[in-house]
Amino acid sequence: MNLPARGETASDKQSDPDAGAPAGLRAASRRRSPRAKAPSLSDRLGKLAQLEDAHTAAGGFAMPGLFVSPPTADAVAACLREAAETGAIVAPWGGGTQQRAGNVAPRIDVAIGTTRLDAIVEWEPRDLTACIQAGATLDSVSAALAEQGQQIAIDAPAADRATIGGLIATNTSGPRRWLYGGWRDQIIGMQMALPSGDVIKSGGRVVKNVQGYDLAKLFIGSLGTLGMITQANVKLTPLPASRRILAFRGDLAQVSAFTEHVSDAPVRVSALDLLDAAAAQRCGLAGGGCVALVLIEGPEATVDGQTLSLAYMASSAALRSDSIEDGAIPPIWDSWLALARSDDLSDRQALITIGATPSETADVLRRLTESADKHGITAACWARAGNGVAYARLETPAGGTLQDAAAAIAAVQSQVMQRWPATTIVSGSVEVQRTVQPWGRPPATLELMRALKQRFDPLGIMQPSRYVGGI
Amino acid sequence: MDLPGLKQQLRAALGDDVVYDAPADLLPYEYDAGFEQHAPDIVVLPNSTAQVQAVVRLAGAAGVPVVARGAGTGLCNGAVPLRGGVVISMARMHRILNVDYRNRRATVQPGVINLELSEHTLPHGYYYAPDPSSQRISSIGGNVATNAGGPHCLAYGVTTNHVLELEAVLPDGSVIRTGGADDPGYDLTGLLVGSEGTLGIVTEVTVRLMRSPESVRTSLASFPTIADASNAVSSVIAHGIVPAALEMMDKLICTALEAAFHVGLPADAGAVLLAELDGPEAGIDDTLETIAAIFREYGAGNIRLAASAEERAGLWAARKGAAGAMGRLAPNYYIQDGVVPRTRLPEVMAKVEDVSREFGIPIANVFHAGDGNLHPGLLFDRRYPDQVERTFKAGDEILRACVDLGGAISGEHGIGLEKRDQMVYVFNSNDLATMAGVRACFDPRQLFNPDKILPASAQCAEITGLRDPAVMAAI
Repeated sequence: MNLPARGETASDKQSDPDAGAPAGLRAASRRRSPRAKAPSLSDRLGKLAQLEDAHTAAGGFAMPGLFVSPPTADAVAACLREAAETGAIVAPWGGGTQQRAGNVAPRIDVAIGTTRLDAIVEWEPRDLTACIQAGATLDSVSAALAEQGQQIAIDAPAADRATIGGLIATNTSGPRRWLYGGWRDQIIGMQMALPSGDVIKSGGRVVKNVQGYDLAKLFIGSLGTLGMITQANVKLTPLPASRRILAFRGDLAQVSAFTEHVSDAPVRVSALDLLDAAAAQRCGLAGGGCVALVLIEGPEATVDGQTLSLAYMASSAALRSDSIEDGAIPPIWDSWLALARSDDLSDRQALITIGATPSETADVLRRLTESADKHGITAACWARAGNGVAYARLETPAGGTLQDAAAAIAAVQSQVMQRWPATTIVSGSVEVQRTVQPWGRPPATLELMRALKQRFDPLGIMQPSRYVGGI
Repeated sequence: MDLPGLKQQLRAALGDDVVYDAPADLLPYEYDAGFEQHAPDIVVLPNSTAQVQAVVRLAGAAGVPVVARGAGTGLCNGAVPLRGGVVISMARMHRILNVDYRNRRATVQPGVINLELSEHTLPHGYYYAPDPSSQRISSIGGNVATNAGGPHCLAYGVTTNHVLELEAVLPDGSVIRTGGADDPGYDLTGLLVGSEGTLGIVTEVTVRLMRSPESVRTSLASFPTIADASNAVSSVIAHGIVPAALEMMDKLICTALEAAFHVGLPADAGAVLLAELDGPEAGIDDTLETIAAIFREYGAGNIRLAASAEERAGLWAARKGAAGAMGRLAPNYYIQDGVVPRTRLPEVMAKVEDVSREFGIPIANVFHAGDGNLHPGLLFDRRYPDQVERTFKAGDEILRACVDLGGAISGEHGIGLEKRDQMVYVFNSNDLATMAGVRACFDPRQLFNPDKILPASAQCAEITGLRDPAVMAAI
């Protein structure tokens, strides 16, 4: 069963390529063109893809001069090749919800959008696998899969706009990562368009395959720096018959001891997060103290059994239990996901992510809070306690300059980074994003990563300088 | 290749008890569990990462190929040194370095035997999930190289889903530590897993440990035919139930296993399914009953539930001993590893029967049905060249059928030498050239396990998928 390809109607209309190209862009592409008489980039791309109005963005981030939506993976590859030949800088573009991630782009000549690649290419429900094009939004895919009681077990905020390709390229996952893992655990095969103009694939469509190098792993979280993901083959997960959210309240030490206890117990929960009071409040769980937020999914009997086990463990640990009615589950779940949203950040806000270990959860939250306090920053902190990843939404006080805000956020990051090098930041202001180290401390394997980048994108047209270590 | 010089340098650097070159010492390293054989010139048994690094540097300087070897249980000739050179056996690097129960992870040397790790952690309530049938003898390093699977990978994923970090020696002699899922940058860990020693030699592995489940139910169901059992598997998955394991054994293999293990496998069933559920006690019996109802719908006569941990262990010992038991059926067997979408199991199993008839080669089937991962065991006698020829032709026919049905040529054994020329059934020249380009990033001189994974054509061909910058600039 296919999703309606929303781009189809639009693509039927033959549009005059130049009419769609903003004037500024035509100038930009002329400037970039190595040959004086060569057709402009927009002329070249207009033959391959539909030109659309350029997007606009807040916060001062560079926006693409030209925006194209190729109708097929081959057309994406052809656009990449054209861009390579004219030396145009390319930004792959999904739903545009995470375009601020990474180092600030000095310039984007063309955004290659996946709007028209939004089909479910193959889906045999009885196989629990699907092949999905990169431009399908997570919401549209979820809605289609739900008709047969299935899902991709990946959570993301702004799922009405966030696309499968974009979520993979940014390696986005949510609370249920605790049970289901992330994209690297769900993807079984991938198709990619490379700057060379070739469309390649790796992996397969079956749940288990070991055939050649697992190139999909390289593209997960690569921010489009190697090429563009055009479709992914994924494992599907049956939708649970029933789900429940439990919240247990106490101080940080109590709650973190509890989350450790739960992850060490033979219970099966889907999500196990630890929220501070501010984060809990954002989820509609006002009441003070820290909260262990737990999602349980499964057959009704299993959910009931797990609920009892957890309630027993919580009461033994002297935690207070919030009572959450079934009707409250969807809004809590939505705001739980929205905690990690970055597209709504104002220019005084930032989202920080810290890779730690589960046993460091309380430490990292403590350090974050202390450091934010010290620099006059309001913080809402939480952690995927089982995975050992901590997050905070940081907000600098109104009234200060952007430079002050940038300095304060950078100071918090640098303090946290002393102990946890994998501390990344996305902020709402280009000023802040330029001041912080968006990727944290560069990994020791940077040279190898550079060599891979050079192989895939020898001319450096794919998001140059945006990635880790300036790749 | 200055082999005498290299031997001398290796001895000087590592000592006589690490470097071997007497013909009798080299003999065990000529083969693995596949069919090709070739002697190395030198075998090295390093004790540390530094020693591995020293070997790689010296061999690299001499231009001599290096093949890393785990326990030698690979079925695809991944560990056979086709060009001679140095074999580095990781057998002496067999220590469990650190177990961190709080963070549910363990760091081990590559020579640690798969089952040893779980046996070490089980008393603490934790285990290492990937459980290839060879787990009593295969090493974690070898499992990482082939991205090994196993019956319980149905619910919990294959090796790559359980490897968190790696330390590896690269062909240039440098040592890298690859990061985990939350470290920014390309996922080098994910790339190295399954690369069969062609990109780096893994010297340390950090794996995820899983909490032992509260409850386990293991049941054995007999079906009239393979087709019935195949349809039952498809139906279980279609019902949204992903058991911990769902294994199929046909009549031929059941006969051999029963003779070897005496665990009460039925002699008269066309096929048997071994189904295991695990997880919280609450609700597990409801799911078990749903599965039993599906099984009955497809003609399961007798459904037996393992009544004790011993009975359960017996059933699994039999299942995991299947490859060995094939020795009771014929002097030689060739085990294939093709995969099909689970809904295509009935079709592909019919095809396997056809192939068996057509080529006159008996085939015993014991496999990961829930994953759609076949392991047809083609039975033959190596002493008769025509049987050998028919066996490999029949095997190829089965792989083509798997690919035609939307499947893969390998689910968990890897490509090695055995299937490198069959890679073209799945990948085109651009796909393969891209892989060759990635390999060239790590090993431009192709000294690490040369001739493996990629077909000869892709290794020699002009790399079109990832063009040279100079060529690109000239466009």
